[in-house]
Amino acid sequence: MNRGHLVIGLVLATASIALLLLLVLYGGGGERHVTALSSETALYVTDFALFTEAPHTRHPRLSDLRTAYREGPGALEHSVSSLFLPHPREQQ
Amino acid sequence: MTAHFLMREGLLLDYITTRFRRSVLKWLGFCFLFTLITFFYGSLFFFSDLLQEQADIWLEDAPDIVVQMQRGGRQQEMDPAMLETLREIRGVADGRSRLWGYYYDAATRSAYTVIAPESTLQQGEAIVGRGVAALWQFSAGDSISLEDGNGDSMVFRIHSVFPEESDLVTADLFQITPADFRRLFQLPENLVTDLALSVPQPAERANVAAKIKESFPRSRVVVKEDLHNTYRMIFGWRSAIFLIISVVGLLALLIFAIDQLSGLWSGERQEIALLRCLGWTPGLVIRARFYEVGFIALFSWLTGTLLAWCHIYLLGGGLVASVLRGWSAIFPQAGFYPMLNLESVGYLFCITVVPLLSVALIPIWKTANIDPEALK
Repeated sequence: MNRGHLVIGLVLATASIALLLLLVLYGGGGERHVTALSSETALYVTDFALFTEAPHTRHPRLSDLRTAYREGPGALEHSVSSLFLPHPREQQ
Repeated sequence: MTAHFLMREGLLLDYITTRFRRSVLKWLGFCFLFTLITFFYGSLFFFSDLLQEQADIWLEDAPDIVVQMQRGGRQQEMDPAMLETLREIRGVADGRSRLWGYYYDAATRSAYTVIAPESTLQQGEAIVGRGVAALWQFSAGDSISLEDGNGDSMVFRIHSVFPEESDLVTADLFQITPADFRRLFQLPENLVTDLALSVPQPAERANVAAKIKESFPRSRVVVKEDLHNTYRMIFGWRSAIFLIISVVGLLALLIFAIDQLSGLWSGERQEIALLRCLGWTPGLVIRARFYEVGFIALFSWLTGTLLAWCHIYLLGGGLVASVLRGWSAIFPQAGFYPMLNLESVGYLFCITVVPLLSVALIPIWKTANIDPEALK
């Protein structure tokens, strides 16, 4: 191991530690945004607008429970996003 | 003593660098594959963290309990007079009726979520989500025409666009006045979509829900915690097909790693035998291997984590988004605020560094303990 190796190693180590620190600081800190919606509108915000292609993916808990899987709970769906959504279990 | 230790470790590192140089391609391949694995799982973990955090922020003001009516398994509009009965249940502080629905727009082949809260909006005005605005490429002041239940067109002037930071929850929203809503969907005056109840004490919500279900057997009661859990469980064990495919990939990589790193092929065994004959203890052989694989694993873990973090929080999670997006025309573009969940970073460490080290060290430990004479 010569001096060149040491220098390269030190530079790499410092760079990675600096990056990790930056990540922790940048990710952990910072002011969170305040709610920008009126309380009346917020009453309607029950779900993310991530999967907007079908009612049961847009509002997994609030849409018709039986239509989505009515061909049987094992039926393959046409909607990719259903793969990521948990099964809507009915409240007792 | 310390100087002696440092010199020996320095020489070990020297030995490792020569080993790296001898098979650059193999180590580069490893770095690439495990960076890819960390990046893949990291993107999913970070996206899921983001959703959980955003759910805490945006779904905080969601109704504590939503009551819907069903007939024949289909949701039905309900009479708001039911609110009077519900308000009398102990624990219920307040109740509101809600008007909302979906409007499918054939021209853009997309569905908007139309909501009609009480607001300062004038009749014929609308507030739209950024996704809808982007689809039509319009801004505040423009007009949009929708078709009502009779096939007549209704023109709405865009009053404003929902703020960018709320994009994750408002991208497809279309807010109009209750009167416009009733006209658009031909909904009679005495019916509403569902009811939203305020139950300030979380402990009472289950009780209230049970009471409502008892009094109105046709009702469906959804508690706020369930809404939250939906997004807490996203990418959870439920997404089985997805996980099975990815776990198979991970296993294939591990088998490849076992094959390459176990050191059971003759060249590797010879090298270990040579080192043992030169007077290296088994501990030293294992330590050399530990440094070697540890460096590769740590490097891949760090690079993968950093890349995944940048992908989700700085670049808006393009790859995850394209999978999630499915067939929907509207997808939130903003709202990916930087954060770091150390728990996820820990999970990533367990996925990359721990298996790689164990795969490499256990066979070497076995080989290194054999008498060098036996390896001839």
